[in-house]
Amino acid sequence: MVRWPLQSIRRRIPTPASVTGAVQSPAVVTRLGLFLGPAFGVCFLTGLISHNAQSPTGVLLRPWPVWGYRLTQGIHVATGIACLPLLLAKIFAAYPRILDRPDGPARGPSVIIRFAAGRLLIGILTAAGIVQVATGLFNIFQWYVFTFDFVPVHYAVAWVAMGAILIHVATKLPTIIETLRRRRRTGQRHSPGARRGFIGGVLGVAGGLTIFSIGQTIGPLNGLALLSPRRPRSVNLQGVPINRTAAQAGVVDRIDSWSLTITGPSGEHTLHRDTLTAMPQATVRLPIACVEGWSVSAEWSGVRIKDLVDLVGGAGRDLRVQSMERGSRYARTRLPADFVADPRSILAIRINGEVLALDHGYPARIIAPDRPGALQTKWVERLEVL
Amino acid sequence: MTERIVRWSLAVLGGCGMAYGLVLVLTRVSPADWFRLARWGLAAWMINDLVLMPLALLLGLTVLRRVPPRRRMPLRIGLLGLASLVIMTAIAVGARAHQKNPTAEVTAPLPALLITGGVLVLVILVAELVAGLQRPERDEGPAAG
Repeated sequence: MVRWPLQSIRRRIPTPASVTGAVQSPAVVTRLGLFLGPAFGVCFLTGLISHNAQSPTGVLLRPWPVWGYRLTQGIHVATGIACLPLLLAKIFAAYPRILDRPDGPARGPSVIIRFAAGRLLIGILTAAGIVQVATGLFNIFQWYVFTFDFVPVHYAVAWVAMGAILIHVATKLPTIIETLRRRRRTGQRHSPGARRGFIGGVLGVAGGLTIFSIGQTIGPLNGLALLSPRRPRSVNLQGVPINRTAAQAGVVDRIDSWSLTITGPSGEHTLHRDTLTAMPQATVRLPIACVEGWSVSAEWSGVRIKDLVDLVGGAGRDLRVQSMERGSRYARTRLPADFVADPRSILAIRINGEVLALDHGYPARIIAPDRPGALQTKWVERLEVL
Repeated sequence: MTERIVRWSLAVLGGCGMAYGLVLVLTRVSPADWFRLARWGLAAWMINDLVLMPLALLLGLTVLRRVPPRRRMPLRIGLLGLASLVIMTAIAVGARAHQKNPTAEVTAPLPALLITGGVLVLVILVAELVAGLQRPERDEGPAAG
């Protein structure tokens, strides 16, 4: 007798078929997944590269090509932004599935458990995907509304999201294959009518967002970067954006008493700015590439790192770089031996023909090829051969 | 057989990935951040299941059914594009209000929204014009969503 109210309730709840429209079909959901999955995959892989590059114990770090980090981080941010409309479209196309119920007339425990596990996976997949895209967007705009430590959380959730995507593909593989086979069997080159238009439109929106934001990475498209967090480079101080000012770093009061201490196997040297200026100078053109996706090339002049390290007999070793800033994750960084030996790695004192501005790291900052902007240490006060 | 192997391989790889992610949360993320992350995850799930999906359902049942079949697809694409732009603009506006870096020359979000929104509308209109010249009227079926 208890069944009657339950059956009555079940009859009143819509089924997926009753709310399915032109685009809520396995064909559309599958095809959107064929774009969203790889977009997330590329974002994940470039994110791994970025995370490795920022790690003191990162593997396979090399100072070439000079534009390496610029490229991978630019792609990471661009694909992350493109995931926004793709994710919204996938949610839109798949929304009838929220009304799914356990299959079969005899809904035994195993069916219900399998159904619940499937819903849990979808819940984790969707939540992880939304968290990654949302926090990534907040981070590139420097609005730290999430309050947690972004780097370890974004890295950990990326693994959860990719893992959930792979399991999701594994469970849906028969549907994916059948959908793609049906297209080939009927000889259709494209999904019919409305579905083709929807997918094309979604890709167009994703492409449009990319075009209007990727100019922060690609110079010729800089004028189109309407959706990027930073305005074109020409309006920035000395042509390069600043993420952290000297005031924010708390170094302003100590700048006048600045000196550079270099320690190594053969002893210790203390240099002042006029000593640095008197040493042989090198000029290199290298990009600053930020984790937020923007990157700008500039002309830097200063003393080669290897020349400074040679003063203390530290050739062939890693270097610890200490900033005047205190309490920041990147106040102390490690420059691998390959980077130290590279002639393009310099302790810069000038940028684009001008003396380095205080907010750009005056009196001296590290500039090295293929290195994340956060590790191009500003206000360097100590170099220690390890 | 091959399909079965591929499915199992993907499932195992995916399981390992998720497990590694969980280990990273437990070992590299501070305990205080666990709860913040859990709140964000819960909020994301709620936004999906309690906001986005009902909104999509409502859109289909109340708006799209009143629109001629031929106009529904451009409307869907326009709304999707607009939603993406509004989300990015909202973040940009909020970021400007909370900007701690006084030297940051940020892009003005509202003009950006107007220009990119205008481009979106223009592209949809041109696409519709081209489609109208190329194809006859076609009924697209049920309106929901």
